[in-house]
Amino acid sequence: MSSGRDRFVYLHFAILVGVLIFAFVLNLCLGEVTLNPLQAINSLFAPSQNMPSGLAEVIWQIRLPRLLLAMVVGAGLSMSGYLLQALSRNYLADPYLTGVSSGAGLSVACAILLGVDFTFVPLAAFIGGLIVSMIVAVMARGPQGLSVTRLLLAGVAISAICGSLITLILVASGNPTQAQGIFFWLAGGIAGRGWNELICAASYIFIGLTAAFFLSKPLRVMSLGAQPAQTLGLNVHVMQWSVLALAVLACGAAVSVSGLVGFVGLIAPYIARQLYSRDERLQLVACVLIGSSLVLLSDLVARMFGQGQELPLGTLLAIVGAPFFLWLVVKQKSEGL
Amino acid sequence: MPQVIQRMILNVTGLAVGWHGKAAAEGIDFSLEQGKTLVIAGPNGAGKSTLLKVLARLNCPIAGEVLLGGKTIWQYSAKEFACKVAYLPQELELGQDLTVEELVALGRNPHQNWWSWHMSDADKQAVRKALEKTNAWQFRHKYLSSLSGGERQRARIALALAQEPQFMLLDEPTLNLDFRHQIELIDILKDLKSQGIGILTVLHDLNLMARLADQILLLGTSDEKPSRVISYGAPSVVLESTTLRNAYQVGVSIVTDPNSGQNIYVPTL
Repeated sequence: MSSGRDRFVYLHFAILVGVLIFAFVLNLCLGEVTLNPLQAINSLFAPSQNMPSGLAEVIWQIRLPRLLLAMVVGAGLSMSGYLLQALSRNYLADPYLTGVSSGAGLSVACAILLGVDFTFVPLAAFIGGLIVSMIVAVMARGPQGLSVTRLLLAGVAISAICGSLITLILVASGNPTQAQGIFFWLAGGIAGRGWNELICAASYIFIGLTAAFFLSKPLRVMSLGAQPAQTLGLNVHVMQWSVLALAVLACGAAVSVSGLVGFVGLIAPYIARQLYSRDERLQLVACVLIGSSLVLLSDLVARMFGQGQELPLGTLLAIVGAPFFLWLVVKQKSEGL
Repeated sequence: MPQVIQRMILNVTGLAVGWHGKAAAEGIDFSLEQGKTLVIAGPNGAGKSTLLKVLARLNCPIAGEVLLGGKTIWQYSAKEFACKVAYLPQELELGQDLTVEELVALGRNPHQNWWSWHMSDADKQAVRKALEKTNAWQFRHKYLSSLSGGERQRARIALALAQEPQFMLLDEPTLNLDFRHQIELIDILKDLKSQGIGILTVLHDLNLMARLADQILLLGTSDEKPSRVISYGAPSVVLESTTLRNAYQVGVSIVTDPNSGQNIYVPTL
């Protein structure tokens, strides 16, 4: 028997999918050339019919890969945040705030500078993110398990270190064009990416998402705490490592294409949990839908912001995300957590 | 035809438990058969909870051996062990709010594939049985956050019961319960015992101990040294005023209730 809180499962789901489709179509239509939704959808399914020349190009080569990339980045970051929160049992954990993103960022910067083929950039991001997450986890480990205060403090410190190392690398590289590119990438943005990057990042995130689904049941068992989970026959260490690895993989793949975009991994899981308080599978799906919509809409705003000049996506999301984070801190404090 | 059931035995020899290599309790020997109850008693800090954690494989022992059915407990896989031994810590904090039924369903975890949400008929039946035995069936749809202390404790015992274990380790299950609920809980444990589950529980109340225990293991400390077994045996042997004074450093007067003929234990302040 389902009880009151999750009564609106289907309605909520329909709304989430609706918002995503709306954001998708909006991204497809708006830009320097504005299309009506019918034209845009037509151009997707039957590109050759009654199409002004060049329009199909705009849709297929610029807007579609970019909006799909926004979705993939949103999915990756929100899933990563969801897993990190489940792992630390605290809603303040997020790949950006725990330093995982900047660790991934540092290795991406190195990889770009060394001219590594893009297929392997997400892997480099994964390794960098994993190293940082292990350092942060060791620093955050207190006598009573993982301390969230220490986790966030360590995250901030590590982010600062990685950030300055990236700057150092840029200055040392002595290539102004490359440096400028990396600077923009650092601020977070998905402009100028094509199908190759999209397919690469999407495959990593798809693998991560599939694996995360298999972990949804162990995640529920672990929500009782590590020790009770162990007495229920779960191999807690293996599970914790797997969850961490997946979180870092998803974050790394997202960061490798979008740069440092924060707070998606904070906002999306929070809303998903509010909607589906009791089913980890639904939470995960909702989380990915929300994250995708969020980045899609943010990227649209970033794109439309000024004439010819884009607002970095990371900056835009921080404007919304940081107050949200503060609100969560106050909320947790008032709930005595 | 009478059914012969092989009863499993939990055997503890020369066990020392503690933290960071420093023993809190040592020289512990006992054995517990399925269908019997062993109460672990002793003053605060005697290492009772630590002992339970070692038996639940959450902590490593400093010395000694724990055998379950002739094998050391560490030879079992996590899943196998969870099908045999259930452990109830003093507190259970929840990351999220589940209903009682959802919580108890997690007790089936060791019997399921680790990734699977599927509840087989056997799983459903075990959950139902666990809820019924603990009188939790009527509030199975309630959220844990809305339960009273007594209901909460019954829900947690149902969770352990859904594992269908041969042994249950309980750490002060009567904590924060009023005496009606304490007695109710002791009766549930007696019922489980009669159905062949070996119960090993930490208790503080001497009267509840006398009511429940087949055997009592009394630990006591002196002068900052690790605690040791002061007495081990049937309640009539252990619950004796000199022994209790040795363990708790407080006198206990024992009076016989004229109505029931049972002994009543009253600490003398």
